[in-house]
Amino acid sequence: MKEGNNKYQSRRDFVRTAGKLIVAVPLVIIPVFLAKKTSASGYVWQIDPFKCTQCGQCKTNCVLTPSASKCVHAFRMCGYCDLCGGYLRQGVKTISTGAENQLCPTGAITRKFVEEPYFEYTINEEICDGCAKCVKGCGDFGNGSLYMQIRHDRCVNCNQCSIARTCPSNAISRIPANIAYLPKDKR
Amino acid sequence: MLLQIKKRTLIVSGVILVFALVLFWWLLKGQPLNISERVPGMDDRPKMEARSDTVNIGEFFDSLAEMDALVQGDWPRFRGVDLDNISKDTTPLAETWDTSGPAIIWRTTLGEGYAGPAVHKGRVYLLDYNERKKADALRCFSLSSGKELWRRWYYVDLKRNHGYSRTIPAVTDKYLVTIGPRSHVMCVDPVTGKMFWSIDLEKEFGIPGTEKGRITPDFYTGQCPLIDNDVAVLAPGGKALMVGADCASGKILWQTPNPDSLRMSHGSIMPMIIQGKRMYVYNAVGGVCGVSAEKTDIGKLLWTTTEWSPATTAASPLFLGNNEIAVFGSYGAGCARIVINTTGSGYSATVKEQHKATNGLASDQQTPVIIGNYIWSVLPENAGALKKQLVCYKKTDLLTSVWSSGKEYRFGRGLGPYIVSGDKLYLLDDDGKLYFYNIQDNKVTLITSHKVIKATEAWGPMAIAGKYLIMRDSRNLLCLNIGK
Repeated sequence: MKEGNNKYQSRRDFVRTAGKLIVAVPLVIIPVFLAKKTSASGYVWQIDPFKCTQCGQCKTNCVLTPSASKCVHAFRMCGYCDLCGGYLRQGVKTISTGAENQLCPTGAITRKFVEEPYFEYTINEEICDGCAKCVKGCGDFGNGSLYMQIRHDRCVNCNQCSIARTCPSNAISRIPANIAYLPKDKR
Repeated sequence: MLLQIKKRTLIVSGVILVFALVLFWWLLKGQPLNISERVPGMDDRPKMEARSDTVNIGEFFDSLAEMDALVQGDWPRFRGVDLDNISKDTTPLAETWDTSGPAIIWRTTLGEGYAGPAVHKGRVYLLDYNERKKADALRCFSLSSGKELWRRWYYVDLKRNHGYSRTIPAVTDKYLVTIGPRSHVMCVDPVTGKMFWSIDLEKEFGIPGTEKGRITPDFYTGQCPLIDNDVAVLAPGGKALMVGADCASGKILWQTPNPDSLRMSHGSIMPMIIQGKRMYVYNAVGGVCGVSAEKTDIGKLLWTTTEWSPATTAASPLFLGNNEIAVFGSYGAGCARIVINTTGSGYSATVKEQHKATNGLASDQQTPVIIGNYIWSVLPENAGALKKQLVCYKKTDLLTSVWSSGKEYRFGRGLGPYIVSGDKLYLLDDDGKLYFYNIQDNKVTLITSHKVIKATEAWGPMAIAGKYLIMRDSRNLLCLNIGK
C-alpha cells in the first residue's frame, strides 16, 4: 500500500474524525426529529371507538357546524340486519325507511336491500351531524359496526380540540397524522 | 304635521321594500338545506314472503354410537322442569372452585348459534345447524361422556343472520319436540330418535302475501316448544295465535284464533295460574295474550293486550303473583307489569306500569329468574348506570333495584345466561367467564369465577343436570362438573 494514498495519516486521525462524526450526526438529526415530532401538522385528533360512550358531545362541542366528528361504518363487522338498532328507532312498529321509523335525526343513513334478509347501511357524511345516536343504537344490541371518527377533510385540527376537552371518557387524543384514523374493524 | 306623516310613511315603505327584496332574494336563492323526503320503500325492499322450498323435516337419521353410562340429571326443556330456571336437583354441588375452575368433562363443536341443551335420562339434546350440509340437526349426546349417539337431520337453507340456531328442545319420557330456525316442528322418540311427525308452521299457519302472516321472525325462530300433557303447545302467529298438537299423532287438537294479528316473537309460552285459571301466557310481537290451558275450554283466547308491543322481544313472561305478570322488550324497550282481571264475561289485561331499560328491570335476551320475592336479571347495554350488571328487584317494585353487582362487575354485553341451583347462582358472561355466586335473600356474594373458554357470544341458556352444568358459546358445547 502506498503511503500517499492513505486518507488517514494515522490511527489517531481516524479516531478523531470518527469521534467528530459521532458527535455531529446526532446534533443535526435529533433537533430535526424533535421538530418534526412536536409539529402540530404531524398529529391529528381522533376518537378511540372503544372508549367512546356516544354521549353526543361531539355534535355540540366541535367548533364546526356540523361537527367534524362523523359516524362511520365498519362494513366487515356489520350484521346487515333488517331490524337494525342503528337505523331504526326503538319500538318501531314497521320496519321501513319512513322518517317516523328512522333513528337518525338528519336522515344521514341510507338503507338498501342486498338480498333477503340483508340490508346495507351507508352514512352520508355531508348531513351527519355527529350526534352518535346511531352508534349507540348499533352497540346496544347489534355488532357495534357503527362508530365515531373525526374526519380530517373537515377537522381544522385546533391546537386544543374543544371536543377533547369535554369528552367524558377521554376518548379523543392526538395520533400521528400518518395513522389519522382508528378503524374499529382493524384492531 | 303633513310632512311628518309623509316622512313616516316613507320610512315604513322603505322598510317594507327592503324586507320584500330580501324575501324575494331568499326565495330565488332556493332551499337553504338539501332536504329530501324520507318515505317507506326507499330501500328497494322487495315483498318478503316465506320461502316456498319444500323441507322434508326429519328426513335423515344417523346412528352414531351406543349409549354408555346412564347418569342422573334432568333439564327437560327451556328453563328446566318448573320453567323457572332453577334446578331442584339434590345432587350436592361444590361450594367453591380451585384456581383450575370446574373440570370440563367433555366438549364438542357446534354450528354457529345460541340453541341451548335439554337433558333427560342421561341424554343431552341440542337442535344444531350444520353450516356445511345446510341442515338442521337434532343431536343426541351421552351426558356422561359427550359421545354423540344419534342425529336426526334435514336440509333447510339458511343464511347466517347472527348465527343460526336458537331454540331448546322439549323432552318427556315418550316425546321430544323441536322447532327449527325456519319454524319447522319435529317430534321424535327421545331414546331411538324415531320420527313421529312434523309440521311446517310457515306453510300451515302463515298467510302468504301479508307481512303479519309471515311466521318466522327476524333473526330466525327463538321460541322453545312446550310439551304439556303430551300435547305440543306452539305459538305460530299468522292464521293461529296458538295451537296444540297431539304428540302421538301430530294432529292439531286445538287452535286459537288470532284477531289482533299477533306474530311469533323470540319468547316462549309460559303456563301460569292467574285468577285461579291455568293459562298459556305468550309475549308475542304486537301484544301479549293468555290462552286457556284447561281441558274444558283449552285453546280459548282469554285475554289479549296490545298496549305492550315492543318491536322485538326475547325474554319470556314471568308470573309476579297477585294476578300480575312481567313482560320484557329488547333493544332498550324495558319491561311492563300487566294485571289480569276478571270481567263479567271473562278476563281483561291492563298494563299497570311500563318503563324503559334505563329506568328499571329489563332484559334484552335472557328471561330473569324469580327467587322468593325477588327478581334477578343482567341489565342490557342500554340500561344507563346499571348497564350489564347483575341486579335484583323486588317483585312489587320493578323500578328500584335493591342490589346490583356494581360497575366493577359488568358482564360482557349483558346478554349471557344465568341459572340457579339452591343458594347458588351461575352466571356466564358473553366472553366465557363463569361467575359463581352465593344467594342470600336479596343479594349475592361472589364466591369465585373462572374463564372456562375464550368464548364468542356465549348466549345460549345453560342447563344443570345432576352434577353437570352444560354451557355453550357460539360454536362449542361444554359439560362441566360442578359437583362436590
